[in-house]
Amino acid sequence: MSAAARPLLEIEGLRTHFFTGAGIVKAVDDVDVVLERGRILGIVGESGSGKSMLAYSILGLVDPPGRIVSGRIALEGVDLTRLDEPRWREIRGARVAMIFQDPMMTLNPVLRIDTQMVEAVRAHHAVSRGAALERAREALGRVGIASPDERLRNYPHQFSGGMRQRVAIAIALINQPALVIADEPTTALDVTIQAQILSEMQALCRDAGTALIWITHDLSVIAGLADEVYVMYAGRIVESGPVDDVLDNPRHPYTRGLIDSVPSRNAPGRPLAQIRGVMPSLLALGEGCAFRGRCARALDACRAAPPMAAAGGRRLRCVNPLP
Amino acid sequence: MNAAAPLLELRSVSKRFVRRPDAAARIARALGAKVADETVRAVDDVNLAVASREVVGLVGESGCGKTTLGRMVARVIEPSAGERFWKGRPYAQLESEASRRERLAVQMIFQDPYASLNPRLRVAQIVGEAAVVHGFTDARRRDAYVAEILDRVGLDASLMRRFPHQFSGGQRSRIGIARALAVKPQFLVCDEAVAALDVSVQAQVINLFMRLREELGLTYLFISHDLGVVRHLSDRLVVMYLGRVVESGPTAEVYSRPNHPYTAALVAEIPRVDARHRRYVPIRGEIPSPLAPPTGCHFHPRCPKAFERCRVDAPSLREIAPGRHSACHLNDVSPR
Repeated sequence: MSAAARPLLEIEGLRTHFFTGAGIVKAVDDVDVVLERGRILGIVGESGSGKSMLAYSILGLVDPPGRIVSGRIALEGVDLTRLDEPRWREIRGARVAMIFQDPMMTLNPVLRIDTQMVEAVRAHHAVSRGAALERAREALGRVGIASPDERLRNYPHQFSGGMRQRVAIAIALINQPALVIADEPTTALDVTIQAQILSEMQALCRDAGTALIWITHDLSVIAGLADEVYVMYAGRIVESGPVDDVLDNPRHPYTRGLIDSVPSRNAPGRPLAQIRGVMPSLLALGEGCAFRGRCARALDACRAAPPMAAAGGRRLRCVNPLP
Repeated sequence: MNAAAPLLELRSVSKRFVRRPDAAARIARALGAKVADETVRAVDDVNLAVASREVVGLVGESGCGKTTLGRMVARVIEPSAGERFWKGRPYAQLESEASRRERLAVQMIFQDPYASLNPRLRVAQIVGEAAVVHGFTDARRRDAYVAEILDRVGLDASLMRRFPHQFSGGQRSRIGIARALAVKPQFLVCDEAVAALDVSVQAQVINLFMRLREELGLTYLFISHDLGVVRHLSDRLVVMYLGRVVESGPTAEVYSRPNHPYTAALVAEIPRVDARHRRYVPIRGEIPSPLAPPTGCHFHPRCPKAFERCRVDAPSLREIAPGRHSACHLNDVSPR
């Protein structure tokens, strides 16, 4: 099969588990993802759903006591779970890059922006410092930073939060990776700044054909941005599909509950639809559906692990789905 | 007491924060250099009246002064200028021992359910301490008192011997609310009280706030950057930008027909579940530094409709329709 016909990213049966003193935490448990070139995929889940660990697994950033137990992550046909560290260094930042919630995870506080950006270019390309600097200047311009020449000579603390996140985005995109993973990059930002960054990310993906995985707890951001959505709960994908299908006609009771609890979907002043209870501890999950304790549609059959069923581009892990 | 007086009122309240000159600046000044103090006008001449049982939503982006305003209402900090009134009486008159209960009537709920609870105290102490100190109960009956309040906020009273770290984020929020309720307040300042919570838990806590308002007849100043949340909860909306109120009015009206260009931009940019595959068309520019706010209307460098007068002349907040106020020169120019 030729590389062009294959999806950009194929994840099959990925399990990332943490072996702690208190027991095994299945942070990512039997996750499948398929992503085509240039598409935007939204992963939505609450704290502890494993969405960030899925991202770290793709980038090979899982630290002990966690490790990838089984499964395959194929990016452009290369299985990332089998890479050694030298090979990782060639791929990370060049073919796949990450934008973190806190831009200071990307930026070094004691180095000027130009130093950091030039280093990012020259780690992957044998170009002169001048040529690398030219690329850095272009990259800053693309993410909407005015007077990039001046800003290149600044340190990270001289930028506002929104600007710092833009610099982190510019660095993630500077080597034109095929895939960018963004983990809640706008959560800490104000609405007007969030809208600026969303608009820039959209344009950058459209123009460069970069695929994007956008991880968030906020369904409404996914609604505006993504082509496809994956809903994650307690380490598993519970529902996935095209964004319109899933949000207009959710089949999993958890997805339905998430959509219904968004304030703007409820009449002002009326009690919000709420999901009762809280997410169970990942240490005490057992075999069955992790949502069954909070689910109004739970059956006896939910005590067994629900299989993933696929139909017409949508996938669902529920034995008693909504019609 | 004047019966028509609002429950709480702020008149021309301002708060300035002055940064003390550092050693280098002091030396330079001693040698005759002109080094000005750095002053931030966090809140600049704000008027606000809140009626009993009203829910006022205060919205704006980081640095707009909404938290500072809330803290002045809750008496956490003192204003640099202006006056505050509780049931028509100036705050200064409430300083006496006899007015102790009146001072407790305004309580604050903090943003971070992790940082705002003392990690070394048990829930019974966190919730019950102030109630004992102020004589709402005594040490002997404290646990029964705490149990009643925990029950009201939806927490299992048998958990009162636990420490904060043994609770989830949503439960900690409830502990923070219980602590405020323990001194029988009439007015709660909620500063981003649900911002740190997951969506499903956030809905539970918002419902709790609405139920408590019904049951206890509470009045809220609900501070948030999330217009979706504020729209759901509040009767009236107050929008701040760089220390000034730019628009206020009934929530539904401001939301459906915003007058100020900044409000319009905020409303337009709320992500919505039913808005798919959006082309985001954001307002340009960053929020300017409050150390050096723009001249005239603070919003003019980012405003798509700014004209010459906006650069020089600060617009005042004027009534544009019954109960609605806006600070924009465009209201003088032409009917919009």
